[in-house]
Amino acid sequence: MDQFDAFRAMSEFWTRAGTGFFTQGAGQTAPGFGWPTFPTPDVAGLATAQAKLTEAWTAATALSQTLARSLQGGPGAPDPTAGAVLARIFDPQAWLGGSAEFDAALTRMAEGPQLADLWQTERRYAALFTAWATLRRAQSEHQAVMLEAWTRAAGTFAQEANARAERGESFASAREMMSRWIETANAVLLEVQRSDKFLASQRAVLRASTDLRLAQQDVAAFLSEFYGQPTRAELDDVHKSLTELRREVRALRRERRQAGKVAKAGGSQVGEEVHG
Amino acid sequence: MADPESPKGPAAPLNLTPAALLAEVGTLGRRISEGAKLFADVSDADVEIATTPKDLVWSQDKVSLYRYRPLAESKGLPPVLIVYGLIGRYTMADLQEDRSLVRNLLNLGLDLYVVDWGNPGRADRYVTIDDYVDGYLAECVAFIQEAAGRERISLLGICEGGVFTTCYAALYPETVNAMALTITPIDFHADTRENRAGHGFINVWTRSLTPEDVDRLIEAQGSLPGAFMGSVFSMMTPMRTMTKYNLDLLDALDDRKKFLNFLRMEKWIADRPDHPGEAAKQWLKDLYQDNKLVESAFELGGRRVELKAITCPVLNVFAQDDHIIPPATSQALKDKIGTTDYTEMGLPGGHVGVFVGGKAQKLLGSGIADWLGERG
Repeated sequence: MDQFDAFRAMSEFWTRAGTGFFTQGAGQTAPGFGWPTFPTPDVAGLATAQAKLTEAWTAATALSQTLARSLQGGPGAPDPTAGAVLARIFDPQAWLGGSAEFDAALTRMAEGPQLADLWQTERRYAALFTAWATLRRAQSEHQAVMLEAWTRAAGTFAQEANARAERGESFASAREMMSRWIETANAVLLEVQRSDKFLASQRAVLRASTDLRLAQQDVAAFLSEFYGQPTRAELDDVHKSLTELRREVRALRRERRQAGKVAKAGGSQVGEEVHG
Repeated sequence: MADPESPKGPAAPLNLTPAALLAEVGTLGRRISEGAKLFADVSDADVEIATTPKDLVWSQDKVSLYRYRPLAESKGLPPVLIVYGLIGRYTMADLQEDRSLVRNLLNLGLDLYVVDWGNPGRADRYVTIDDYVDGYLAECVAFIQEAAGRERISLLGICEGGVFTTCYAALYPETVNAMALTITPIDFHADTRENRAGHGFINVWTRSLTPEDVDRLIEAQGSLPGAFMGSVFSMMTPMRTMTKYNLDLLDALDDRKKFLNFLRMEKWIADRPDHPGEAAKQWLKDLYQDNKLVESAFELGGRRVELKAITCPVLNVFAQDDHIIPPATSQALKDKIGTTDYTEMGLPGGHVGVFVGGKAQKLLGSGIADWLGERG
């Protein structure tokens, strides 16, 4: 199963689970709990984003495979290592990996320890799920932007390579070819990163991951209070007080030091007057 | 979806000899194998960084002040305090013995101190730039003044640390003998004047966020996580990031020395502390977004940081190919300060290359030492 299959399967799973979860009456099987109306998560938006990503992924993968196959001299190339290396070099997933490093940093920050599914926290879990779906949708949209950029870079590179072939020129070495690809791709990526589209989709990922983190913290705070543990907000209060106290101590020390200097200077002035 | 100019069908086979291509790929395979052996032979001790001997002379909360042991006869100049920022660590200035700004300066007879901000955690969320400049940095200077028996000392600021020393020199001009800045942003919007491809992405990226985005990020994280900033830096050199652990590493495997240099740099990059939350808000909103420093509108400790109040001699070092701090963002200081004793030094290389690049790091050490020597 490749990255996209896993992604799609996860999406379908969550869509099914989400639909069941939010079906009116599902919660009424739990005795003693009034089932409020939950906010409906935007699973349709997530599905649309996934579909767009599928489209971009299919186009990019086809081009990637064609490039790698062409550069090996055809499908009959004997060395599987060479094939693997070339496939890797022209793998659009690496671009997702590049941006995925950023995404992964956000995800690591957002995905804390899993919490037990307590029935009382239902409303908070609903918000959590909505935040999760929003993040996944934002990530899909951002990945689609990256794949579009990859396809553009690969197309530019292929055009240049074809033009060389038509002129009867070839790359002097595989390294030269790779360097040219890196140069081409870098130029496209740098341009894309400054585009409004890229900045907007990345900002959406940042916002969504922040919202998810806050939704998680809301659940954690609820549980902490329930079990009599200090919450993040309470700890923050303590840390704020500590920082302010340290600030005051520093200021007092400085005042004392200044007072000492003034006294010293005053003392020597008195001495001079006496001797004067 | 794809660019209309790109080919719609399969790309035509390229005029490349399969045999030659495969031979090269085979060579790559052998180098990978040899590299694996080299990896196995290297221990963590082989890639120690910041090894120049120094002693802890003062500490408060998580902040430590060190004094380097002399490596040459003293020139009798005022002590120099090295101030790095909160993004990355001071160890960059002493990465390895033959590429160390610290050693270069000590070898030229300077009395050298360095402040280490430590590893701020979530508990430091409310620490501000006011605390760093008006608090800890002021305390470090006071300690050195007392220890050296001098009214004025010199400051050497690096990157965000250069912003700290600039603010300090504006707030306490009577205590600063001279100030050398390296790769320091002053006008955070000057990237728009140069507009070089790949340069100033952090400026563009930060401006693409709203102040509320920054506030919520800090509310959720409590800090600006080092790993997060690391990923933003990676985005600035997208293909380099993708080729770093394959093509670049393969190149480094040619000889042991080159390989160890690569690993030392990796060690420094991996050691990226979290930036305290409130200080990060000031850094991103007041400086990157609102550009308050160059407009003398930035406030610390209830006082406005007036750049005109900087009256000490200033040396401003920038990297000519700095994609993180574009030269124009540093050079903006020239007309803003209250001294005519202002010198610029543009060195070859990028943001980090100034400190570790073979040629630049030698020019940097001697350039700073000579400049300080001329100003007593």
